[in-house]
Amino acid sequence: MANGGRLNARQNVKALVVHALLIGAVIYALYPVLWVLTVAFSRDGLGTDGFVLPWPRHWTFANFAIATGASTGKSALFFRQLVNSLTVSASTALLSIAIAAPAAYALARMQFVGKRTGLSGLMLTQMFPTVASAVPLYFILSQLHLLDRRAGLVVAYSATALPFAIFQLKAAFEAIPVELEEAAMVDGATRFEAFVRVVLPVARPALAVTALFAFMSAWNEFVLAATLMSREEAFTLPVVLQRFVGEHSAAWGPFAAGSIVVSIPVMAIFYIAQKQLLSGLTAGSVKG
Amino acid sequence: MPSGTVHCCEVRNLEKAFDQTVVLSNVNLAMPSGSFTVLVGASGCGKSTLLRTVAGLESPTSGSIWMGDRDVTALPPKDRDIAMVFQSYALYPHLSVRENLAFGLKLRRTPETEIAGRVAEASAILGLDALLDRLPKQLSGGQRQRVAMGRAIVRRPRMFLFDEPLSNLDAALRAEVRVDIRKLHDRMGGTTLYVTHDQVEAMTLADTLCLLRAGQIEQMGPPLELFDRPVSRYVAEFLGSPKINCLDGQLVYTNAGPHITIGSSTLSVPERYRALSPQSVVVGLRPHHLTPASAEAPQFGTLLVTFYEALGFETYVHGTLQGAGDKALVIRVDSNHRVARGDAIAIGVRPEHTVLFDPKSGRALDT
Amino acid sequence: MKAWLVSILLVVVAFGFVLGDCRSTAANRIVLWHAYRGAEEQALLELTARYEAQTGTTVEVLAVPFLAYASKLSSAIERDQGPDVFIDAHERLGSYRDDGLVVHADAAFPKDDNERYDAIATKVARDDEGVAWGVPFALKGVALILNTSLVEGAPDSIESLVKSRNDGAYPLAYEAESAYVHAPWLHAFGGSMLGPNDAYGFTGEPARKSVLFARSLVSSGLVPASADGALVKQLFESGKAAAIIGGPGLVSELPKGLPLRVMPLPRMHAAASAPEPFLTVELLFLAPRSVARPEVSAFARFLASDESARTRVRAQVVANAATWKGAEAIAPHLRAFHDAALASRPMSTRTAMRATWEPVEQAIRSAMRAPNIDTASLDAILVESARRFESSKPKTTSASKARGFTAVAVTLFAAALVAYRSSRPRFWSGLRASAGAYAYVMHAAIAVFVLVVLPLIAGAVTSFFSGPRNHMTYAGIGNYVDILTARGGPLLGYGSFYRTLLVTIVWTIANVTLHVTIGLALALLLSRPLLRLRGLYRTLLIVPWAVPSYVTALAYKGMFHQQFGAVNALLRKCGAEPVSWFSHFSTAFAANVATNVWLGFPFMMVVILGALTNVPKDVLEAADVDGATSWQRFRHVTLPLLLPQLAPAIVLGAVWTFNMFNVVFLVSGGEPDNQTDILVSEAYRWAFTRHAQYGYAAAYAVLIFGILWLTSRLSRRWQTEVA
Ligand SMILES: Nc1ncnc2c1ncn2[C@@H]1O[C@H](COP(=O)(O)OP(=O)(O)OP(=O)(O)O)[C@@H](O)[C@H]1O
Ligand SMILES: [Mg+2]
Repeated sequence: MANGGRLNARQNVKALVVHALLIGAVIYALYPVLWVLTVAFSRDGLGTDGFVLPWPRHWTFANFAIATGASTGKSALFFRQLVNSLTVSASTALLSIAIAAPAAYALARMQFVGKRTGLSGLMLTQMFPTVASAVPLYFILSQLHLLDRRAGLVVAYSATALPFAIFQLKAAFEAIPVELEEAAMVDGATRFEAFVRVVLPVARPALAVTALFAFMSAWNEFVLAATLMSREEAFTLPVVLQRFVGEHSAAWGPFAAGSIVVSIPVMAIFYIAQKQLLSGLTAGSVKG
Repeated sequence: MPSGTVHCCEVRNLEKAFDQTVVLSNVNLAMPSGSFTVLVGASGCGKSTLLRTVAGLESPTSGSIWMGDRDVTALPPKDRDIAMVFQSYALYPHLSVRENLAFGLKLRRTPETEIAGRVAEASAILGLDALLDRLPKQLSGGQRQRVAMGRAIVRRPRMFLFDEPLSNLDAALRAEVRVDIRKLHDRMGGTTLYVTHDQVEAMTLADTLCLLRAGQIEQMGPPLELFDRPVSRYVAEFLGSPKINCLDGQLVYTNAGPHITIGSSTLSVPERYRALSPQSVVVGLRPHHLTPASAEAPQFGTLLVTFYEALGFETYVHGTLQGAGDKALVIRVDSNHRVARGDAIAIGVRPEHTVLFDPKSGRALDT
Repeated sequence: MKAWLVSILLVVVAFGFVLGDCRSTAANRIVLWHAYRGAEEQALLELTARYEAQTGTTVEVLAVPFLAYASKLSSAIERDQGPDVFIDAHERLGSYRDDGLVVHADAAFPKDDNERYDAIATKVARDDEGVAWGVPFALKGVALILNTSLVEGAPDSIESLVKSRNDGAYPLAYEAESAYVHAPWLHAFGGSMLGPNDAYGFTGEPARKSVLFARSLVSSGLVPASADGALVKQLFESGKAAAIIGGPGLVSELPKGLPLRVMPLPRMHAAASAPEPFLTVELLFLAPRSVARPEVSAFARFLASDESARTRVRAQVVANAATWKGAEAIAPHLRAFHDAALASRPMSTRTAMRATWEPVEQAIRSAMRAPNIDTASLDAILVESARRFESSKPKTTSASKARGFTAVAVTLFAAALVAYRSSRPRFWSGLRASAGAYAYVMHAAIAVFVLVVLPLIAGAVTSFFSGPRNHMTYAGIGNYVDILTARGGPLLGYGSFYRTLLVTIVWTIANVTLHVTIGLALALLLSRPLLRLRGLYRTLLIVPWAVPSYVTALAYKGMFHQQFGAVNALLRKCGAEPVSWFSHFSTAFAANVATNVWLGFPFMMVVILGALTNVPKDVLEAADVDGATSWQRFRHVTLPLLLPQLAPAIVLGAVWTFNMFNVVFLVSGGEPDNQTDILVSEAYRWAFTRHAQYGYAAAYAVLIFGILWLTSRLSRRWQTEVA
């Protein structure tokens, strides 16, 4: 019993150390955000006392009212833009998964001419800075009649998110035992059915993580959104946010408040979905 | 087609190569409806490949596969009306046991009520009733194995394929399931192709035993035929535990007629070898055919015991054959027969149990 | 559970698209673009609504973020998708004319209207031949903003303002290192940023004197050093600065109720003439597609009319002379800004103007931050800044337009590839066997090719051209030669390709190492069995990823400020010397890395958490049974199983970090002296400052691509050799 007690004490100490480390990391992660929060909730911006722990001196929600358009009677527009952001990001997540998953599956499981070229080509696209390609992209989207449509944004974001999604999913598919698909095919599935009904469900966590990445990339993007959309009702939230920054001055309070509003849905999604995002599902499929 | 009877499945002149390595060649295998064929062979000899080719998971380099009177070589697995149990079971981890069982039926758009009935039936046969709503990860190894079998039988396919389905189970369970599998086979009336490298499974389950060696069929036939009349030393050595004793000897003809000498020991020659000319031979003697000398089994030598394994119901005695250059030899004796190290046992064998092989080719000499 | 999530996702998407795209269909609509916000935007909307009511025309107003304004304008107008009228600063007129984005505005601004606007605005809106290129709209410039509870009366000179006592607050705060706010001093000493014939103006006596003047303000401790706009505003809001220099935009962002007063910059004792700030006249520009649409000109006239000015003057300094002479009640600060504007110097409309900011600010920063400065060292700084301006000028090369170059090059390349491939023996049979797989990859291949690869190729092709966007001339490999020879400067000098490459490599290695280490450590901690509050920790730790990086990067910049940053406050609390973070390469670089690591570790953490779930438990248990310590278990079991899964994320992470320009832009801004710039941020500078040389930027991009490609090839070869 004494032995067991000692062991417990040691485990407690270990748990304490782990929590201490994690709390340290959380402080590191949240500290700069505390500044953003302070700016968002302050009537008079950040003070300059050189303090270490920022805290609003005069609390206000006015910045949130400005950021969400409540103060100018434009909250309906803001809601509309929030819906745009959600729609575009969610569609980007779905579309990029829908396109990337079959491609990643073929790259993981099949042999075909051009596979190696394709893979390295995919990697090469990530290496090229986009500094000079915005104008041609605009041109192409206008040729495709996708300007000023949210579908155009979705298509452009999905294409940009594809290379990473394909690499990520390819690695995930390769980790799934081939026997599962073979079993499905023997059970009467075509290759495609085996992919849809067995591989995809088993790769759920990887799909969810990849979808989250695509979602995030669309959620925070503003240059393309601002360039492609030409109606305020079609803007996404980051574009609206960026409007608070001018050439010579910026409205930091509303900007910070808006940033917080923008990040809340993402964190909510992550909190709710983290079990799905991060759970191993291949357990139990093979062997004893 | 020349073959008169229509088999459930027939493999013709199959050849399979991965890139340049030939894994199977010249494989011909006919499985009549309702038969239970077991594929055995050393690890890496191509058993799984053959099975997977029959399943349609691999396509042959040349040759064809027929099911009934249809050439299915180009058909995908789903159109072959087969079910397969994988060594790793390959249960769908995201589906419950019930859904695992129903998966194949759903794919074939079987009506819900029929699916329910068939799942119930299969789970009753396999004793899965209590597990139907669990996920595979919540099952033990044996339970997973049964689910894998259940998934095969609900489908009522024309043919069952098993790839070492029992190798992950403990000995007792394995013996039990082995019997279950055979019973199931008889009950379902399907045709079964079964891969194993456990020779007890092979011997007990098979109607037809097919021994593969380096991608070719070495011998095929009823298990006892392979056991008693091996076509080669390889087959003889592969089947039977402990392994068959193989001793170098000479077939000589003296005044007393033909006999075999192994060192200073002498054996009489079974009837079927009488036509052979004098030559060097390899003498195959199964341990359980070697007994203490008696009237039916006349003595041919003396075994000097080096050690023994008493298993309770029988005892294997290891020793050397006196006067034969210390040739190692194993014999089986009844467990009530007390032996001790250093004993000298007079051993005999019934002449018809002796098999002879050509020392160079390893082929049996009676064919 | 998951099906539940997906259905929510689908509902959101469906709902979103049911709302429909709001593309307007009105035939005769007028499209107006602007970058206004707040009260100015309100006034504009009020006016357009009034116009719609009066005339029945549909006016579509779009407020575009300033950061995307210029690029959106040029992309859209070139494709005939842009506005009919847009509001922009007059100094961009030069490049807009070059790029063909604007047309004459004589109909909207007839000669008869000349007197209607302030003379200074009229002059700016018309070229030397008297052709109007825009309609004067509003004036923007800086003035002195006083906190009346800290300063009494109006100071009669900058010097006396600085000497006034005011309860420990800074007598004056301004963006001392911004060329725009420094310009008044330069003008007072008789200089100008851009001389005649696009000659660099920040040279000689005026430049020298202006720098020494600014330096004397800061080194007296009465003006804060290295203040950026946000800090100046903070100081003023919190009563820590009695006076600041800023424009009307800044005033409108200040909290209401702050007792303030605006006046033109007072004169300087040190200089003969008064300090003259830059003036920006906002003009209504007419885009090419409004040609032959008189209603557009009518609309522009309406917006700029005296009548409309009465509405606009509530929020901005209108350019209508009558408004100011009228007896209407106008906010005193706007009146003061108007007074200041009349005494200001309109910015040059030459495209070369844009290229002066960087070298000028460079010189100001170097001079302000040097511990000691004498004539020789100051001259050296000015000579260097002039050299940089010169070297950023586009080189004039032979003018032969290579049309269809792109198409030809791509086709040839593809043909060569196919020819090479089909010469291999089993190509065609392999192609037939691949048909099934192609059904899976087709969509991705097409999407990536059309939307990612084609724009990149088009971008790469620009690298063979030089000059501004609409007048590109074929330059062969001239851009590459220039870059690779460091434009004739020393090969390892500041801003040279090779030095920047070194910085970029160190930057990438530092970031990726830290991302992976921190991400891995946290993921391992978070995946310990029996950990309590796991979900909460995980969620809090992804916060840096969730909050838009633009704002957090700027928060980091603030945290590293020498005087007011939290980092130095912490150092001071611990008794250490505060560090001037952006004055040294090592500390500025460290600040960039700290920011980027903070932004990037959650991504790695999530990737690793996902990968960790694929490490089989039994293998770990087997290692435990084998008596491995937890380190050994990690090192020999977890890590080898993890790495293959992480490879894509790490490799891509490295590539992305290599090209991560916005952190460098927002945090150190390349300080000190462009030393912390990485290759892409150099490329962006070429594209958007420095004479807008897209070809040059594209050549940088191609070189970056080449380096990354070569690295990946070499590392793959090395890997196979090791294996
Ligand atoms: N996809 C493949 N590519 C190349 N070679 C293969 C492939 N699959 C199997 N082989 C080779 O073919 C041979 C036969 O493999 P197979 O799996 O059929 O053996 P097996 O008889 O089932 O062995 P075991 O009893 O160990 O399962 C082996 O030498 C193996 O290395
Ligand atoms: Mg096998």
